[in-house]
Amino acid sequence: MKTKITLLTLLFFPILLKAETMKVETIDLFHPIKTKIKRHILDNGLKIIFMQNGTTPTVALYWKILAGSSDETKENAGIAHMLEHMLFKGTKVVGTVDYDKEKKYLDLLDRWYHKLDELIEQYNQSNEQKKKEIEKSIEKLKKRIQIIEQEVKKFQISEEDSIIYSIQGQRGYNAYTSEDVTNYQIELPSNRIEVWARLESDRVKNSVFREFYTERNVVAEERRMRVENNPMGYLYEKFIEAIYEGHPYGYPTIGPMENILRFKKEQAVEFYKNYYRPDNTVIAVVGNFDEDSTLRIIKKYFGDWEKPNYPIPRNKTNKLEHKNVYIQLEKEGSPIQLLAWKKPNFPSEDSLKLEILADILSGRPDTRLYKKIIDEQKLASQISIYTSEPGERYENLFLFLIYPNQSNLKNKNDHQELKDLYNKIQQSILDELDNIAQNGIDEKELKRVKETYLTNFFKKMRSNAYLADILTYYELIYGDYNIVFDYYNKIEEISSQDIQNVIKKYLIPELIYKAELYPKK
Amino acid sequence: MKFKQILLILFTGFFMKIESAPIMNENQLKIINRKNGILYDLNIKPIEFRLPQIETVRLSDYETLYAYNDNTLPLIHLNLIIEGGKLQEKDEERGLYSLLVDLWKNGGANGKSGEEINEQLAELGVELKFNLQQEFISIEMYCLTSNFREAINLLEEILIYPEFSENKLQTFKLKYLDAIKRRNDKPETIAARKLKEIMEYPYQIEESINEDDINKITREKIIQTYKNVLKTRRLHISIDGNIKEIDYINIFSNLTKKLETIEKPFLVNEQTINSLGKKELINKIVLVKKDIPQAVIVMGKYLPSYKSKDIFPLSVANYILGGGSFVSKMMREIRVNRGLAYYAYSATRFSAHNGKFISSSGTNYEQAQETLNIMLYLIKNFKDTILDDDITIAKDALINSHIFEFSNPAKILYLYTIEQIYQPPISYIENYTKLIEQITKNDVINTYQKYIKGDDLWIVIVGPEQLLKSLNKTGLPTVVIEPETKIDSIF
Repeated sequence: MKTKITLLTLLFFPILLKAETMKVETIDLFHPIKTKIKRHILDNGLKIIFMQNGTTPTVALYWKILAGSSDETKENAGIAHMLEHMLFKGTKVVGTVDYDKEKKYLDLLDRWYHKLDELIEQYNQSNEQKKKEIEKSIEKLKKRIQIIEQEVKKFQISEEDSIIYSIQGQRGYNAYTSEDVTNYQIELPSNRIEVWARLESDRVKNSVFREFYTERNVVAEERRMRVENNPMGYLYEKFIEAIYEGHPYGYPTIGPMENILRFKKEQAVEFYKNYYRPDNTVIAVVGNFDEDSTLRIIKKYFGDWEKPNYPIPRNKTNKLEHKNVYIQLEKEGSPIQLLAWKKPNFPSEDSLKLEILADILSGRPDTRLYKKIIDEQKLASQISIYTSEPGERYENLFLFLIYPNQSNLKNKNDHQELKDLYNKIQQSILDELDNIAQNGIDEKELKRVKETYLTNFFKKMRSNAYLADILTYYELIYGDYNIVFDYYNKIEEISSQDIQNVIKKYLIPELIYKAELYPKK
Repeated sequence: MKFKQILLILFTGFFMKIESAPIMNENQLKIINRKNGILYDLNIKPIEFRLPQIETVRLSDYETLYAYNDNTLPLIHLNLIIEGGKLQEKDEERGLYSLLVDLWKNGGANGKSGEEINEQLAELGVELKFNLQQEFISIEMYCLTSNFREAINLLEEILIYPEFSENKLQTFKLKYLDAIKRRNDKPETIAARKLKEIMEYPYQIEESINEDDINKITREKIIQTYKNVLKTRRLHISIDGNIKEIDYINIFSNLTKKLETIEKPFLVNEQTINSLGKKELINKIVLVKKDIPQAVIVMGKYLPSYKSKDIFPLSVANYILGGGSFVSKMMREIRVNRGLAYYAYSATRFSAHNGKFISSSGTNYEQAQETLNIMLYLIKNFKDTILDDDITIAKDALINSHIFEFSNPAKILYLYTIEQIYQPPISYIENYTKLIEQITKNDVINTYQKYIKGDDLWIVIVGPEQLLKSLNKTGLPTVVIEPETKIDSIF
């Protein structure tokens, strides 16, 4: 990647510049960082990214799968996340003292839990008399299950992976699932890389999903915490469901409660087989480590991970058709306002321009909406803009999250008064967008975006974990991690006219999506 | 709703017995290191690591500079820590220090408005944050190496010539008032606040201030407090990053000379923790009413300060009990074995003036009593459930992960600064491994029992009022309150 020399480049890398100016006229600002990154691809399609960073002998080890909730269907919505939980439940080697013996009981549990799920379904659809009969069968079955669960425990070593990693000195052993990807992460001292390779290669090849049915309840609790106990989480879920109805982004990542409590192990196994494969995975190792020996270790443990000969299933997506979405939700909690427009996803040029617009509008005290709506008009106490929700694989949103300032409300139960406040905030935002569309932005504003971006990026780069996360993410979604470094260089090329154009093209007042929370009276 | 309730009863009913001893695998290490175990034949070479060399310069009797050069990135990080913080704030002036730090950064300086200052900072790509802690105020700055001199000039204006604009004060007051109105939205926030109110009693906590408290804070009071903060300062300046070409000693020597003259530096003292907290509520449940599907349980207890060496066996005990995530007894019993909750943990926090033990979980309100019983069982019966393997795992985990404290230049200097503020009897940074290694099972049990018994906890649960019936079965008296009930009005 080559771009023109900037003043910034001159100041940051004087030595490099000296050498480069003799040869070529252009220089890549991130060249010194990029030279520390290497990509390897194994025969089975597995991509590995190495980056040297820091002086302490520690590493961040991340692996990501290109599979998330946008790869689900309505029937199995939430299974990508459930599967992520199940991958911490051991393998044929880890978490068991004798898998062959244990398996007989695991199979029995699967059968009886299926039966129990069916009985509960029947119970819910029956009249009172029938319910009493079914209750007896349920009790009987529960006792059987209880006995088997006690028996199977004799062969299990619960959380063996956690114990092993803890002894090794792990930090941040965890995972997450999003609409787009599923990520598994850990940081370890650099001399423990082989421990990681043994455990993770075993995890991707041999997971057995033990304790599946207990974990359904854990995920249900997670949903209660993130969505049902949380007014913001609840409003956001309803908003996204409405905008993306019938689209892969229309399913909540954690899944609806009725799915969670009914998941079958076969659903998780099917998802595992379809998506957990080397040609759908990127590994990153970032930190202070020996590259040659690490590559040898990864080849040794992941080289035999078989690439299936069938294609990776992907949901078909149509272009998101516009429709009116206006949600007014009455729920216990304080007022929250969401406003959004549909936009193209990264790495389209227009998406980048809209990201820069977001940085001009909010996020710091020197931004336009902060000064206008929070400081001057005092209509809101917080305004944030998100440009990659709900994900980055498909068309996404230019999304405002606003906390109206309740000091403007005389009566918290007067919904009309609150509605007026929501309208005032919306109008104020539309006016500012129109102002920029008509009059543009000055160079100083663009400079602020660029400079703060650069400082923030370098600050985050002090973390091996952050680097491992973004390198795997961009390599997986866009096929090239370099895209993250190109971002800054592209800002340089964007003009005020570009920003004006994207406002006119995408942020059209008539096409706005809205969601508002009204406190329960 | 009915459907969900029935399901949960069916799914969890047979796990309801909590009288039985928690299940733990005996001889875990033996099982894990078994012949067919995944790591059986793996040899791990020891790691080579030496503590980084920090440059320390005394600028005056009460002002110290710490520097660490790291040329990896064209970035400089600066942290000015002024001892004092919320501990200096009078009870009747809660909120004053928070407004001070917000206005210090945003209220304009040296004839420039807050907007102008923030725009100039952004043009230089400077990230500047003022943070208020119990024991100190920290002023933290990140900037590109190339912009450092200009950034320092701007910072100097903010530090020495702040204007604390009245208009900006009113804006921040409105934001604070909005935050007060939002503070009962999330059950976790309510639970943490009510527990803190109970534990800090009879003192008021900032999280519970009301509109009157905010309105009585004036610009004059803020200016007076600003001067007092500087006059009583013990200042720790840390600078790290690409600083090889920076004459930081001169820069900060000159800067500190321009600040107010130090009169009587503030010193953080240990609190007499026995005098804190609402004694009448010990070993009782405070149920804070909120109509939500998932109840939040928190409990707490005071521990010794950072100065006590007891913090090491207590850290090992906490790791085993609830601090070690999936390795801990709480997570295994409550989440893994019974599927009752997504999270269940305990934590210890040690500072210069006191220490705290906190434990928490969140569960469907119908399971709250069961979850609470398990938490209390594990806390009370710690001595009887602890195995030799638990000690080995916890010690290995703490020692082997200690290297991460040095994985980032900013973290390294922060560690050194905190040690200067907290003044432990010996350097914990240099002796950490030795201090953990020498701990025995008896040390862990005896120290734990010295501070935590299980019937001496403050317990708060946020959830629907229907919970009361099941909580009565715990045998602990329960007091039902609203989120805004004042603690001094109970009993």
